[in-house]
Amino acid sequence: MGKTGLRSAGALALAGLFATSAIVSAQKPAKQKPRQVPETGVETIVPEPTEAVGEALLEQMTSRSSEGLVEVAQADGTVSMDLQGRFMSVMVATTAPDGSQSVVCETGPEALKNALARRSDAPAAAEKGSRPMKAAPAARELK
Amino acid sequence: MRCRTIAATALTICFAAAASASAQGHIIIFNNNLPGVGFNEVTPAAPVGGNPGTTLGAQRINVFHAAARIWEDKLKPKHDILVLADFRALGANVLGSAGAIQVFRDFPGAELPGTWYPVALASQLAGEDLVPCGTPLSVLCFDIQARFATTFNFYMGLDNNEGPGQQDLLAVILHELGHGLGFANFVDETTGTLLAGMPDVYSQYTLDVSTAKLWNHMTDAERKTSAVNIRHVSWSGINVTKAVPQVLAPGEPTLEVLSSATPLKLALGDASFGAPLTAAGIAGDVVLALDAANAAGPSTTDACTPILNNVSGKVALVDRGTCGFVVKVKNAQNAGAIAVLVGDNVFSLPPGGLGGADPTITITAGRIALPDAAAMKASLAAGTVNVRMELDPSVLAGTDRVNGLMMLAALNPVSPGSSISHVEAVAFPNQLMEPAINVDLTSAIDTPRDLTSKLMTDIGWFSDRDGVPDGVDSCLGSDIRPSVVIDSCDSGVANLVTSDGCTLSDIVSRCSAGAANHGEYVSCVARTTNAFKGAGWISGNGEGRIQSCAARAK
Repeated sequence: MGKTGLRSAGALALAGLFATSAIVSAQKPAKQKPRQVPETGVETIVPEPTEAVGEALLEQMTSRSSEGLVEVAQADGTVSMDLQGRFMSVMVATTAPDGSQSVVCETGPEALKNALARRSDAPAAAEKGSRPMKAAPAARELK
Repeated sequence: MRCRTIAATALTICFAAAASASAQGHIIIFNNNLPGVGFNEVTPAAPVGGNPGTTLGAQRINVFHAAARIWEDKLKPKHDILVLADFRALGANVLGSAGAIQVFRDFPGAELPGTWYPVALASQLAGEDLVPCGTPLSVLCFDIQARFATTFNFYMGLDNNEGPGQQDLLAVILHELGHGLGFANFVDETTGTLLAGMPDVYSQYTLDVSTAKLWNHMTDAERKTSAVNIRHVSWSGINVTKAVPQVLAPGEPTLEVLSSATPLKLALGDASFGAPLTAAGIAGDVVLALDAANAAGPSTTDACTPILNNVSGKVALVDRGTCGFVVKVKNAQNAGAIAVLVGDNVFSLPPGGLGGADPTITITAGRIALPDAAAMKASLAAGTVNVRMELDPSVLAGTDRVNGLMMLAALNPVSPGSSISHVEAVAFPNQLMEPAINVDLTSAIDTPRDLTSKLMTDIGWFSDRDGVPDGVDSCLGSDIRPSVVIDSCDSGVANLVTSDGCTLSDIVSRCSAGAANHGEYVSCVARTTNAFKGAGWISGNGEGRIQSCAARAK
């Protein structure tokens, strides 16, 4: 089967989402039924994290580096690459002196670094407030 | 059913659903939390804004599900798109993350050779699931990974009606899924390097309007330079470009320097308080406002205390820093200023807006960039500076001034939200894929409110497989039958594809739309096929055969 049969499987645990990909195969995987874990009735994919994701992991998420990524070529010319958790967009909240928060999407390590360094500083969301809005504008820099 | 908690019977239900699955796939939110956590958190919650969930976990599921449904209804994926999702504790101030798990290139159906595509889009173009799930189950059979924080005060309603201090989870998820579905490049913008040295589909339509070069055609050094080319990096795809006038409103916040020997328009960040900018604008001479240097503000130009010089009837220029924007503007207003320009105290382009609230402020205020403020002070030392703060009606807010294309977010230096994978923040109305999640966003991802869906069209979500990439294809949904067919009459004439993505059949079919009667239709086809012959696309014999079919058409 393809993906459809997985749509309601629950908490999955598979060895290490961020482990280095060991799957370097020139063959497309056969479509088949997922193996069930007897205790739960479903297969598991990713171990539930037991601690907060650290900044090192956040840096990995926003990494734009190709280093260490592996291209996998198939017989028909298709080439794939596991991004290993890189090239993610990260949503960062900033809190203004008045307590209001704004949310900005970061897509690179430098941007993320700047945002995290600004944690207790003023927000930076450059939101437009001079035209009619349905609600109060989100926070932007106050000073 | 696209998202469930663990249940021993769940798979049976799912398989039944799979057996009756239609040709269209679904965007499936895959609950990757263990019991009691994230999607499975049982903390009671009151239903809110159309979200009927009575636990926090259930509400999270419902919001994810709603976002998936919105994208699914628009993109109509041919295959299931699996989103590996969970809520968990994340780093401080980090709300969540999302992105494609894999990229593909040179797969059957790819519109562009040697070009990376996010896996969900690649499967759509290939017409098959490129990452089917096997045994053992691999993270690589998922398309998108999405993680969100358990500790943030999201608004869980489905009606975009968040209150003060809340962020609309639905808008946030729509935005993040957008990145995973293709609204993202795979470029290191700090170095300009491509992913494994190969271009990507998003960069194929990323145009530096200063150099008229697409990012995929640049050197690494050129891309690095372009990434900070403020308000000169735009989206060139034809579908977004066509839709821009339907979506973006006229009026870019602008500071026009009227006393300049040559026309000079500067970027202006607008304020969330005071009188809004208008097309008519407010004009006046600029005066550098002076106040006491004291504990409230160490500079004589920070306007943190009452203004000492005469700014009555003038546009007061003050420096950013120390005290809030509303304090500065209020002091200038009390001194009789008709408007205020706040000069930035850090190098950041384009200038951000002015935040804060004070209902007693009735004058207009705006922020200008540090270099512009410095230049203005130098000009003031030499003579009079006369300006107009306005919404420039000649520009659609969010389009560049060179080609009128939708701008992407190039900021200098790299700062929050800096990424070409976003729409420039000056766009109005606010767009889903701007760096910031703005409070006036709706759940719309398409025209007339939003341009995101049209960008998805450009990158190929609705490819008609005519061999012309959809971002330059003037005829989406082309008739790609091998020969020109009118009704049931097959002319046998080869149905060529023109360079702009229109087949001969597409062009001939336009005649039926514009003709008032059969005679007009036949005449139109005759003119059209004559033009085909003139272009060397068909022979005289072919012209006759198409016209013969047209004559028999009903």
